Amino acid sequence: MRKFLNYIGVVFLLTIGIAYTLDVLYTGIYTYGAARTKTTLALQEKEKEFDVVFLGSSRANNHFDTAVFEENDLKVYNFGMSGAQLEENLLLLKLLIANKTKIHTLVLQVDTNLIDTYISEGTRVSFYPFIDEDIISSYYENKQINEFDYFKYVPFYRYMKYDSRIGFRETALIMAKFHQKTLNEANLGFSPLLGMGKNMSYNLANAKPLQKHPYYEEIKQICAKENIRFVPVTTPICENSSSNNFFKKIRAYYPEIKELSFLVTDDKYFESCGHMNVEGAQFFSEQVYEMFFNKQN
Amino acid sequence: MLFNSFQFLVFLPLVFLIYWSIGQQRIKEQNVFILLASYVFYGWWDYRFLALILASTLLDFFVAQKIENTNQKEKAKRWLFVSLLFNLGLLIVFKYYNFFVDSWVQAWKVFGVTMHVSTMRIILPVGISFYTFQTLSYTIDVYRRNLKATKDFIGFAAFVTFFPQLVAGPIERATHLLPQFHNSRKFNYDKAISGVHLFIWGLLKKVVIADSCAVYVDAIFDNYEHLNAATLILGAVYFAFQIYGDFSGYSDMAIGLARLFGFDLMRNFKTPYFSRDIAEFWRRWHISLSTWFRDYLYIPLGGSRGAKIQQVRNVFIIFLVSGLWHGANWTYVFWGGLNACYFLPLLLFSKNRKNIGDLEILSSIDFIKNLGRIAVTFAFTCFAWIFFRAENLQSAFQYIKQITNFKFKVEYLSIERYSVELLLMLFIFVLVEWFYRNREEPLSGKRCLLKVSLAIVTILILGSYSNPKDFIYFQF
Repeated sequence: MRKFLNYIGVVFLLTIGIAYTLDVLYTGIYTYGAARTKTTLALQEKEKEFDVVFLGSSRANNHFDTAVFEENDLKVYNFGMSGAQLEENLLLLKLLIANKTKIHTLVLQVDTNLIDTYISEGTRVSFYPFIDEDIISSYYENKQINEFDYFKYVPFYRYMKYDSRIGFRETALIMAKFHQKTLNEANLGFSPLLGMGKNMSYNLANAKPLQKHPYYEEIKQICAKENIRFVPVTTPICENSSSNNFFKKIRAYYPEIKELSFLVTDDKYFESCGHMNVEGAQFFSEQVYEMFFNKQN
Repeated sequence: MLFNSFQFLVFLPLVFLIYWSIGQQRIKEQNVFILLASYVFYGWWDYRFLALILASTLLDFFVAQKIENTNQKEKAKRWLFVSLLFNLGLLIVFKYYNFFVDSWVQAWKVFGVTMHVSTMRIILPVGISFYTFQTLSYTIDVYRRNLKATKDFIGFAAFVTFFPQLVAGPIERATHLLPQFHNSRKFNYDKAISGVHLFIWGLLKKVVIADSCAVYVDAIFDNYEHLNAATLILGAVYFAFQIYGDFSGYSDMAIGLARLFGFDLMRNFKTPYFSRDIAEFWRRWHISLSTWFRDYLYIPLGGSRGAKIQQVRNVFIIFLVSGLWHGANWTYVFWGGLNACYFLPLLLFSKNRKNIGDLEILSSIDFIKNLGRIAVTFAFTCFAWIFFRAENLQSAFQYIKQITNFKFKVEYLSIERYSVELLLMLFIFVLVEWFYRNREEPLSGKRCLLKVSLAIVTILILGSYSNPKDFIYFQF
């Protein structure tokens, strides 16, 4: 029996050792490998300077065409992430600031993300490879995340639990530098959508924003403290949407938010009701540039 | 409680240490402990259904005594009938009631008669098909005088509920497993190590092969209307590996666990996809069920004796019942019938016992010939798996019809992966299985620690954990 228990002990230690080694390896790949997500990019790039940074969900990611701003000599990056909520936007901003990124203007896309303090698990997981970073660790420690201690202290557990997002396949793609160019160089974070949607509609009639959204307020405070020009905006939505009331409520609760949902309404500019296609994004971005960044105006 | 769950990781070492610390000569106490542990294991899922197992155990224990104590054949037969009625009654109520009612209503609908018969919301107790068959084997064997009725209720109850194989087999025979509960179990280092290796190999088959395939299989079978022939064929192949990895993985883990406690369970799979004909496949796939049906249904029906027409009838009965055993759906029945059709030419030309021995490769030509036979058998098996996996018969036929679009372009799936990405992993798995085809698992032997390390790395890196799947056979 003693011999057997010794063998089990060896297999157990072997498992722990392998898990620890793999954890170090994977974290190293995420830290030093090609950035395939904006989270990784925000962590890897230090002491950069941007005239404009865009934050928000896919409605920022697909709507702010960075080329429009770049053509006008502005250094920009679109950090909008599909599915991201204000909680993840706030953490990303904190990371950028911790990495001494100088931001002159922050454009924050807000609308349905003001309804509640939602989180996006998919986006949150993109932070987990860097869970040992003080900012990320302290940010999530207070949020009573299920299994957070396992993610932090059990080697390799987070990579197993979320294997489809940060597991073997993703690390292999990082090693192969797959899609790096799209993210890092070609569009400066902007993801264009192609085509026109059909039978689009969106019902926001009963939606109601929180009066004081904690993450929104914190982003606002950080901008004030870091001397960043804060431009919170709503972005367009397709014609057939019962949304007027919702945007009115946003204006009532947050007078500083610029209501831009009306800037583009023609359905030919939409790929789906909540997402403009590349033509719509370009048209919208030109108007945003004119409204907020053209010094001649 | 699942073998691949955190709870089991705590449960197993605790049970193992307490069990062996009881002492090897204190068989009764060990059996009491196994029984309690097995009830905890099963009750973790739903404690209410423990009453069913207990009822089945009590009834068969006393029925067997009655059968043994009577010299009258008729009386013994009546007691056996009570056992059959109760156990099969449980199965019919919990597993097949709604299916039979629905089928009855549908059958009348064909003749234009609309019936309103209500069905019930019935939860299928996990493992009911396995433990009822196991306990039935006991009463039947006592009736046939192959086994003496036990007077040790605890030992018998532990035999019925033995946690490693309670919920998904192997379906053990009382003649094989029950005596092991009455003999002293000595801890054997080599046996325990082989158990650990078998468990690790089974776990790898489950989380790496089966669960990875499941992601693709779901994506393909849920969207088959929009996919081309190449993808749909791959979908069937992936399901073949999913169900094999899932079920044989569970069986390996069960057998491995039993060895840790000093028990031997029967082997349930013998590299079935290397079979050279469908008869050999059925001698290598879910062996404990196939042999159960052979001994308790096929042979009593006459088996391969009598006129050909009788033999054909017997083959169809056994395959159709086997299909129905898997689930209350016509897809399983059709799958069973299809396998009977595959078997038929072998039976008619008396070739069903041609490939009895292990596969031996004597020359290159021999290798190519056997490879061809294996490929053909595998193709037939995959075709039948389409019916097993499909939601209903209509979907299965549409899936097959869609294959006839004969388009073979590589496709991007809704899971954001190409449908061929998995093939490399499966190819390596097949190679490993091929080289170790005459052994239970590939980890034992020379450089075993290195092979165990490789298996652990594979489980950690390539296991699919984001979307964990229950063992498929739990639903049966």
